Amino acid sequence: MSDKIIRLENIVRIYQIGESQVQALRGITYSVNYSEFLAIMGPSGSGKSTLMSILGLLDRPTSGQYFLEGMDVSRLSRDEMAAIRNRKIGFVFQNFNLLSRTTALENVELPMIYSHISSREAREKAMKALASVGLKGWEHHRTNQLSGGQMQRVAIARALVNDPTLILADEPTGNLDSRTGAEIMDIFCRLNQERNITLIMVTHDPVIASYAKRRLYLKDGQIVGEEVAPGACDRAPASGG
Amino acid sequence: MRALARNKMRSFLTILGIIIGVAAVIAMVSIGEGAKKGIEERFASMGTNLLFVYPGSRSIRGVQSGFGGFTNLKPDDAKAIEERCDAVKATSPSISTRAQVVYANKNWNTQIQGTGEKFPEIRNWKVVEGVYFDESHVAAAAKVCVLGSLVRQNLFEDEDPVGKTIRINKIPFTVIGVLESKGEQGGFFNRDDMIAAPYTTVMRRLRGVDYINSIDVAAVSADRTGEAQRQIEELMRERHRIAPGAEDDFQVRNIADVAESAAESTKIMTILLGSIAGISLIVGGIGIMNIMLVSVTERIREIGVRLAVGARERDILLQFLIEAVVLSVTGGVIGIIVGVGASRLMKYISLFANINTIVTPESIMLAFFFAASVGIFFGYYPARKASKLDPIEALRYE
Repeated sequence: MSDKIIRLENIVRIYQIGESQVQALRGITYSVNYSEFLAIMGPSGSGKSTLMSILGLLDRPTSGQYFLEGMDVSRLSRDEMAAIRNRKIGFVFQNFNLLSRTTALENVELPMIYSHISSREAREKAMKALASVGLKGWEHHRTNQLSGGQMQRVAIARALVNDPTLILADEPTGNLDSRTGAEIMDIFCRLNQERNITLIMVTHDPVIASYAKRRLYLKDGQIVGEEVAPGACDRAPASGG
Repeated sequence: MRALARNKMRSFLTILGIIIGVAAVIAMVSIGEGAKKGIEERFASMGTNLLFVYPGSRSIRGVQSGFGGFTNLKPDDAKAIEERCDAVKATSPSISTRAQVVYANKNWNTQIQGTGEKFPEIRNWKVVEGVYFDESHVAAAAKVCVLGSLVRQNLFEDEDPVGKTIRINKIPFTVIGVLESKGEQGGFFNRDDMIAAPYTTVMRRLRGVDYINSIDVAAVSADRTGEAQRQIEELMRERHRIAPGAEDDFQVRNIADVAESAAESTKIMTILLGSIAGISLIVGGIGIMNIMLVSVTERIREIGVRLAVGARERDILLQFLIEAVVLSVTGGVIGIIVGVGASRLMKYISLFANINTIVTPESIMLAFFFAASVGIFFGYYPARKASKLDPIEALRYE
């Protein structure tokens, strides 16, 4: 079991909206291996975003168990979840979610404020993370001076900076044109292959999903299919971003 | 913290409330402290061997008469105290009234203080021009008077007042002297704003009564005031035929007692002024709460990002609490500068010419800590609200 970074046992998530209950997830049982690149696909309302929130410890399942690296994390407190997010999980969002009117460097340093790393060390690590996504020389630019692709690279650097074992990406190319999207996907491929970071990505774009080796299909809160095939990452090894 | 610098105008308007509040507290308390100091100095200059005899309140068939409402203190009591108490050096009966005073085309409303001829000696108060009235003036209820320096200034300016005739309530009085200025700033009870006349004259010609308000007594020396007080009490009980065990119908108070009660009343004034100013500080605090709530709403996405990358509730709470405290403490510091400046200025602007102000370190500390706690108090609710946000909703917030 130790080769599984994620093990989900009958995960159910019910939202209470006024009087009515909405079943967003109806019993998901699934496992993810270390260093895997997984794409979760499905139409809107299929529960993929809910599943992402639970995987990212932003939300708790109504019932069922979630083991992250063998540890049951389905009943932790808010602060305990925050500590795990800080150390083990990196997030990349569709709309980048960078802090406005701050520099690229400050955005990348943000997670380290909450992990009590000295500011000198934080600066070094942030510089290194920005360089690894090809933003050397852009550290002191404000985020509103950057292009969409550059902003997403800053977001990836922020997700990387605390050396997570898991990166969760929610429609990471949704706001980018296809060429920039491909560049971002190249970076993801490299992180997955060279640094062995487990990647889970939610998308409804089949082209983007084709980068992943495993593809999981969700509908109405249930798993309706799984496909394992060599992804674009394997076919065309990353060229260096 | 950087968010504060980004919204410079908004931050400034927010702290303006605190600036005004803190400045008002410091300025108001400084007025109270100034008045207190003035009173302390006045009593210190009067001498420590001074005693006062007042008519006391006494209940007659269950009706309690208020302090000073008695008419049973007579000039003979003063004479008897001086003659029969050997710890007493001198006495001066005292009765006062207010009157309109006219000289040539000038007039002035002031206090007419009826005294005995030993008043300057008892009160340690010199006559600088002319002379004080003597025993014969008192015996004859002569229409003579001695001016306080402020009255002299107002009615005569550069003219020599001695020998001139002024009209007090239309009765002509001859000015025979001028008292030394006590040089007081305090506008509330300026001792130079008075005219002294024989108590007999004030009783008969101005008030038309046969009693006096109080008796000024000088003990032989400062260390015999206690003895003088006991002797006076014994004598007065005998003269007023008060049965053993019955309540006194008079009060003997020494200068320390009087100073203490005067200090008490200025203290109440200080508290009153200070708390009115304190209310504006609370209003300023509500301004901080308002702006912090706006700030939290504007930055929901930012809070979501911070939570996602691992901020705990405490981290978010502290971030917003620190912003609120930085606002209020900045306001506090500027407010202290403005308040101290305003207190200094009040001494020099003509409108406040009579107000003496003293800024004490205590009032500065008080205002500063009050401002900081206002920041914590009114910043806590918005900060807590921010820390309790759901990260998913915060990240999706538009």
